[in-house]
Amino acid sequence: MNRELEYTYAVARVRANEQTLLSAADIEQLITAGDYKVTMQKLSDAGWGEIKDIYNYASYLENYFAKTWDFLVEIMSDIHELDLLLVKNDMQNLKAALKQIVSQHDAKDLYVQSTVYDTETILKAVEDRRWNDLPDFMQEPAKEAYEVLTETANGQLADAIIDKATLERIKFLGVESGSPILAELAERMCATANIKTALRCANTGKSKDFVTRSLCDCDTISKDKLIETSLEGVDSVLKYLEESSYKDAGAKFKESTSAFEKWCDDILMECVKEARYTAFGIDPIIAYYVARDAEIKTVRIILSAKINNLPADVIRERVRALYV
Amino acid sequence: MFQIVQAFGGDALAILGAALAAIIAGMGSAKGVGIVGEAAAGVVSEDPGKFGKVLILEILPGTQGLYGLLAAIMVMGKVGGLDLASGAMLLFASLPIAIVGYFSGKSQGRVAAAGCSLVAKKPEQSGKGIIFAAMVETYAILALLISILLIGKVG
Repeated sequence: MNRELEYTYAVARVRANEQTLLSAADIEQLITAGDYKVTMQKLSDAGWGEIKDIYNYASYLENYFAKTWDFLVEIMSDIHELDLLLVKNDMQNLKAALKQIVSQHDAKDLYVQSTVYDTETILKAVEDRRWNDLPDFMQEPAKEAYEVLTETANGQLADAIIDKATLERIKFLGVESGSPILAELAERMCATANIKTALRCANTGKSKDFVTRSLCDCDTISKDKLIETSLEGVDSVLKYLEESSYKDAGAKFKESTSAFEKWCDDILMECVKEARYTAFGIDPIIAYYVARDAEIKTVRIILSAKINNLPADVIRERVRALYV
Repeated sequence: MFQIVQAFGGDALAILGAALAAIIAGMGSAKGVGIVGEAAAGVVSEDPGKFGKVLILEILPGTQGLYGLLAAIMVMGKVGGLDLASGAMLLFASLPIAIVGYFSGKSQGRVAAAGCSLVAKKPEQSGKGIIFAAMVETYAILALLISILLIGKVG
C-alpha cells in the first residue's frame, strides 16, 4: 500500500483541527483587545484553556502546547515520524542532563516536555557515561560535549556542539522523509540557524575553532564562507548574505533583531504553507505542528508586549506569518 | 488449462469473466471505501455532526463493486451450453468493468478522502467535494456501459 495513505486518518483530524488555528483577524483582535487581562480572557474564550494564574502566561501557553502534543501523539501510530520537529527538544534535554551531571546541580528547569526519547534514560546514560545507551545520533555529540565541559568548562562550546548535531539530524531526517516540503523545511531550519550562529559569532568575536564546530553543512548556504566572513566581522557576513539565496536576511538584520527573528520564522512557514493543498502524506501533520508553534510564538509576543504596554503597531511588526 | 476449457466449454470462460468482474471491481471498491473510511473516521472523531456529509463521500467508491456485480449477473444469465467462442466473448466483455472498476474505485477513494478534509475545514463546500469524487465515477460508468453492450451482443 502506498505509504502516504498511512496518514489518511491523521490528516483528516489535522484538517478538522486547523479550524481552531487563529486567523489574521483573530490575531488583530488580540492586538487591539485592550489590556493584558482582556487578551488572556479572549484566548480562554477561544478555547485555549482555563486560566489558573492570569499573570503566568508562559505556563498557560506551555499547557496549550502540551495539548497540541497530546493530539499529535494520539493521531500518529509512530511518534518517531515527527522526529524532525522534536529532535531539538530531545537534544535540549541532553544539554540539560550534561549540565546537571557536570555541575552536580539540579537542572530541572532546563528540561522540556514533548520529546520522543525518554528524558530519564538520557539522564541515566549521561550519569553513567554509558554513551551507547543513547540514541545513535546523540552518542558522539554527547561524548564530545561532556569532554568539553569537564576539560575546559566551556558551556557555550558544549551547547554549540549539541546544536550542530541537532541540525545535522534535522537535515538527515528531512532528506530521509522523501517529502520535498520536509526536505526544504529542514534545509531552511539549518540555513537560518547557521546564519544566526555566524552573526552571533561575528558579533562576539568567536574563534575559528568555535565557529567551525558550531555550523552545520547546508546546501543553500556555504558553511566555509560563513566561517570565513564571521571571522572578519558582522559586515562581512551581511555582505555574503546579500550574495546568497538568503539576501533578505541581511536586510532584516540591519532593520532590527526582531525583524530578523521574524524573517527566520516566516521563511519556515512559507515553506510548509504548500502542505495546505496536500491531501495525503505526513506534510500536513508537520505543517500543523509548525503552524501551532508559530501561533503560540505570536501569542507569546502579544502577551509579553501587552504586559510591557507596547503600542499595537510595534506588536504588529513582530507577528509571525500564519498558516491559515 | 486447455483441457479444462474443453471439458466445460464456453460456460467456464463466461463464469471466469463474471468472477473477474465481481472480484476485481470489488477490490477497487474495497480499497477506495477503506481509504475514505479512514479519513471519514478522522473527521467524525473531531466533529460527529459531519457524519452525514462524509457518509456520502464514503459511499461513492462503493459503486464500482456494484457495477462489477451487475456485469457478473448479466454474464451469469447467459451461462448454459455456451460454445467456446461465446464464452470467450463474455470473458472479454467482462474486462472493461473489471479493470476500470478497480482503478476508478481506488482513485475515487483518494479523491473522496481529500473531500473529507474539505468537509472538515469548510463544511459548506462539501458539495464540491462530492462533485470532484463523482467525476471519477464517469469512467466506471463508461466501462460498465461498454461491458453491458458487449455482453448484450453475445448469444
